[in-house]
Amino acid sequence: MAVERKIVIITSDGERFEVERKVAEKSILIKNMLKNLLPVEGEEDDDYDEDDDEPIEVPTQNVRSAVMKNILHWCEHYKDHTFPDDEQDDDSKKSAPIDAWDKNFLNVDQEMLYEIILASNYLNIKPLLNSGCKVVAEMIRGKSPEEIRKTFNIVNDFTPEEEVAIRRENEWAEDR
Amino acid sequence: MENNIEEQQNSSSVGSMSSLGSHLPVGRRESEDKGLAISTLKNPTLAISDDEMNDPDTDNEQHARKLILRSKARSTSITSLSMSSFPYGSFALGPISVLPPEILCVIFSYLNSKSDLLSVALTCRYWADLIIEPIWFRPGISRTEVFEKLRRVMSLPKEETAYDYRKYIKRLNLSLVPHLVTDDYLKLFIGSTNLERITLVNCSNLGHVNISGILKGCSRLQSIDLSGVRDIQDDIYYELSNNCKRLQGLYAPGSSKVSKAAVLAVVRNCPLLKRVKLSDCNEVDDEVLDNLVDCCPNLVEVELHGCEKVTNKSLNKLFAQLEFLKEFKISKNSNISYQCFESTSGSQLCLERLRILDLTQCNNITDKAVEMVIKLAPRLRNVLLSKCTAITDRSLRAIATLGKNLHYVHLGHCSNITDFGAKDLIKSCFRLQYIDLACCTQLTNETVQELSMLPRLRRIGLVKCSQITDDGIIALASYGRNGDDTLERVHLSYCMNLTVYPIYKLLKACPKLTHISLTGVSQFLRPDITQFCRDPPSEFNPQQKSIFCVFSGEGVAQLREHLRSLYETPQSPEGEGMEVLEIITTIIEHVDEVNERLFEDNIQRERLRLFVETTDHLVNHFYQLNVPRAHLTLFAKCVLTRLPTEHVPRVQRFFQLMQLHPIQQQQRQQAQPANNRPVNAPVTVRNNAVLLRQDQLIRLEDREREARAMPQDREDQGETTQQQRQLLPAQAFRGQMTIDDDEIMEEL
Repeated sequence: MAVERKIVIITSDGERFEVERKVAEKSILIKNMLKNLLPVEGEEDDDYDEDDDEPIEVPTQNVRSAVMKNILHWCEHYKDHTFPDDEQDDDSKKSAPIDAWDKNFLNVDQEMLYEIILASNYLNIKPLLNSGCKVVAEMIRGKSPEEIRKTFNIVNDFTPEEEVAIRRENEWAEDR
Repeated sequence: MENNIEEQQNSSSVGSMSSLGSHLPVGRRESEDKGLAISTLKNPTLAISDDEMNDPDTDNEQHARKLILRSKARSTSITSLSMSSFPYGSFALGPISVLPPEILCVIFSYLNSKSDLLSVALTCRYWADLIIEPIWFRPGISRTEVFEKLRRVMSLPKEETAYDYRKYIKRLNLSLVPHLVTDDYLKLFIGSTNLERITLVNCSNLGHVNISGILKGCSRLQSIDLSGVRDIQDDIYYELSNNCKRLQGLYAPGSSKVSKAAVLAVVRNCPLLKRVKLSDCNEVDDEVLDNLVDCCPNLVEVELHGCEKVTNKSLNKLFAQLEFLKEFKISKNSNISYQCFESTSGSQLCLERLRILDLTQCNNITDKAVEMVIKLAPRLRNVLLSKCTAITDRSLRAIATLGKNLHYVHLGHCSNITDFGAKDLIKSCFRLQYIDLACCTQLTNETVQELSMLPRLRRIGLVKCSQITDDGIIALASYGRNGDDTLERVHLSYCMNLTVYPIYKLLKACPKLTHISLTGVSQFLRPDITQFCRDPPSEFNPQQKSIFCVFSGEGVAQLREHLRSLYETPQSPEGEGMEVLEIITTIIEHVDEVNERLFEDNIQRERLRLFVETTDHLVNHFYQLNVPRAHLTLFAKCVLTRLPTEHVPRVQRFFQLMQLHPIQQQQRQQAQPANNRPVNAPVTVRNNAVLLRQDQLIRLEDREREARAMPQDREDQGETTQQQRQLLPAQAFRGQMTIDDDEIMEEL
């Protein structure tokens, strides 16, 4: 009977997070990695070897510990939840509002929000990436260009003429 | 094939993506997953899924925009925006600057409204560069306003616009405003060389010159739909063959002016062709078809309506070689026969993938041919064999073996078929949604009864199945039909024997019904009903117009409501009284002369007397109108004489009103509380079939009685009612049926 091996995620700043396999596997990146290292639970483990007591270390150079803590919090919350295959790209799902728990979870400062988005992209956690992007889209929705710039601290680098031209040439597009 | 191309692109984009210095699932996805959904995602226009092509422009705009944003997120062009060569200086001071363009594109893909996209475009150059393509890749020209605004933008000289928008347009669909589209308008889009789809359906004002002009340089074109374009000429075909090597869809029915050489050029130069419609191109012959089959192994759909030169020889090769063939349509070809479905030593036929087969009006299609093709193509979904006049019940039994796979069958004008074959077919193919049996004159109510069992039926065509009677319609309305009935369209024109009440039952039973045609069915040609009917087509002659009777959309709902009020609610006596008075005075005024000699005969005189009595009861006692007896007599004479046809509907309406307020009810049942449903006949029958047989019996009895003119029955109101029955049997029976509805339902 194989004992489940420990998984330790090491962040860019060297912090170690010990997690359950199913929590770690919310990241498809880690899941695929583990697939190569570990037999699937419950399967016969023919190649029993000495190292089995050693934890598996997963280094994640792009994620710092403060962000990883948040990510793992999210993974913990959804560890028993199976997400439907993404990539169906059915419209209903894409236009679905942000999951309430996610919305609350992502109620962080912009810096942390973008880091979570980047990390979920890197770690390949699509539901989290999508929620994150939806939160940012929500910040854009219904705002004027000036309000958008203010929200994101963006510099207007158009000349007045360019601005007029872009407006004139693109306002034909209407909502149907 | 598509996938291969995509794979190659993937590897290149993944390679350049890695220069961003991080693993990006957004970019990496493509190398991991190979499903169709993903390939569509990555490059929405490259992989045309079969259904998409069928319905190229109903798909959701937002959805498409998301797709393109996502595809952009992993396109190579965007990698040039990587931080190492970021051309926008310090576009953002805030933390958002950490997000790479591919993530921004995913974010923008969640913006649903165009005004948000415009706001993003006006935020800064960097964001504008990311968002212009999603705004432009598919200009949604759905209304005149957009059409005109876009004309203004496109008319600006290229140098004066902020972007060269033409290069962003990938799908051009002008088929939502076809009447507005002119050569000058199309010309504005010349130079849109990244076009992937062009849809010009019904843009019948367009000339060939600008269509071929727009194709110049379009090396990425995947599909062009010219259905309904009138001026298709060789130059369009040559531009396609020269520029559009990746063409997958060519819908050009109506290529009658096109030469064989031009068609061959396209066939030989566009090896990726999957869907071709070359209907009415007279030049398509065995040689063209041979080339098509040899050069374009991916063909999924082939439509060759009216291509008369095509013979069994090339068709046999086509069926043997095109392993992906899903839809094959040819009509009006008298060469095609069972021989094209024969397997020879060199060609083992297998049409496992074939779903749609249309052989309309191919005279040499016989039972043998149908049996052979059904055996080869066991998963056919749509079978169209109308006007294949040779086929018989044998073919229907063959088609029946398709079982649940069959959803759509058209057998119009196959006049040899009978109830036996039709019933077998309907029994086996219980998932049928569409069936047309127009002019199959041998069919009777038995077939209709079988049809009523189909749980998913949406459309029935029974035009000119003149043996069908009320019995059949009642079966359709009552058996198995329930609140979520699926039936949407019913065609019953020229089913001469139908009367109003069963149709009302049908309307009631089928809430989704949006179309019902009853042209030429005399019972319906009365003004209170035809007022809800659609306008007849302008090209109809007066005779055709006078019998036109088709209800659709709102008209069906209005008809249903009108009949409901006629049959199920008490009328306002005042309104009706006025109507009765109007009918009587109009008829009296418009009939100049009555042939008095008609009433010299005893029987006629007796009928007249009875009728005047009844009318008197109705008009003077029930409605209390005090019409002089002399007028009533004159009216009765008019009615019993041969009336000019324009008055017939009035008289019918008069009888209907009479029926609604049966006099004996007033006299005999005064003590009873008013009932919503008129009760004028004893409840004696509990079954539709019996009911109608009873109807016939009574009619026979009536005639006998009249012949004898039994004086002892004179004062009997029942006699009067029966007389009306003879005049308008169905209406006379309405009362009975209304009473019996619930019981009948229970019994069934």
